[in-house]
Amino acid sequence: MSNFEQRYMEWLDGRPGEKPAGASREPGEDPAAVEAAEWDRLRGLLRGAMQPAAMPHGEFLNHQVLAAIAREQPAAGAGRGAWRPLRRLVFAGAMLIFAAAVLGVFTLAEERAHAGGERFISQVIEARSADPKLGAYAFTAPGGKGTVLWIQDAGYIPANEKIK
Amino acid sequence: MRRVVRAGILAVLTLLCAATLRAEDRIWAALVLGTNEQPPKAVPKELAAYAAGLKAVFGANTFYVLGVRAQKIREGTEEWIVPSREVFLKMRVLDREPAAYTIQLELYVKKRLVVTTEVRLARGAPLYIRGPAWGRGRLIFILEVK
Repeated sequence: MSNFEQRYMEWLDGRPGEKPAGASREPGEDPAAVEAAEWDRLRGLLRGAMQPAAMPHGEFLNHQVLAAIAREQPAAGAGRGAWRPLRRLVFAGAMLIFAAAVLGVFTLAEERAHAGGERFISQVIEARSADPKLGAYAFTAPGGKGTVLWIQDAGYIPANEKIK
Repeated sequence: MRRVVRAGILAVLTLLCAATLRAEDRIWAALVLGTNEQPPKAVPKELAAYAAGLKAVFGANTFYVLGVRAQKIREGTEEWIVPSREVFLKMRVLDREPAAYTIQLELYVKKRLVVTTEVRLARGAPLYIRGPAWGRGRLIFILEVK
């Protein structure tokens, strides 16, 4: 090792101008204790030399990083979000079917109530003829199910005339 | 706000569906010829439900179906029921109730207005109209809300 290299190594070890560690060792001194002391000294030097560099505009940089993370978050959840419209569609369809069923039940119940509560028959409210010779009468058909509008002298169509 | 609009659209759609279901009533009309024949012929299957009433009221034993029509009931519009060259029945729905319809009917024979009538036609309760004579028989209209 040249003189320069030796001095460089000494400088790296933080002992410029000093003799190498092995050379400075006093006779009878415990090598382990010396080595531990060297390590302590080196640790102290590293702590002093490796302080984090002061960052100019740290707050701004921090804000930018947080904004970039926020921008990337929706893209990460895009796969899950793709199913959202379909889920909404299914939900809306289910709600419509449910509402239609409820309304249908109410409508049918109302009709049943009308049908069961009172027996409806057809009625002739009014019947009038332009020809005073014609008579129109209404009565209930036998069995009470239907109503008859009986027109007296409604006319005659010869058999040779087509009806259809 | 968007949820309210969506709920409103859903409600309107549902009501429209319900209204459509409610408006499915149809008026069934038939023009029938009733005659007395020996031996009597079988009653057409379209008239099976009305055969007893027709026989009892009109005294005929054989019936022929000359025309049948079933159409949706639309309030306020005029419809020709079983139109033919000689006999016309014009119908207009005036009012609608849960189980009945108020209908105005005009019967024309040979383009002459024979009778105008206002009828409350209940669902499942037919109306028989005795029409003019034709040949050896009698024309009969049957109307029913189904």
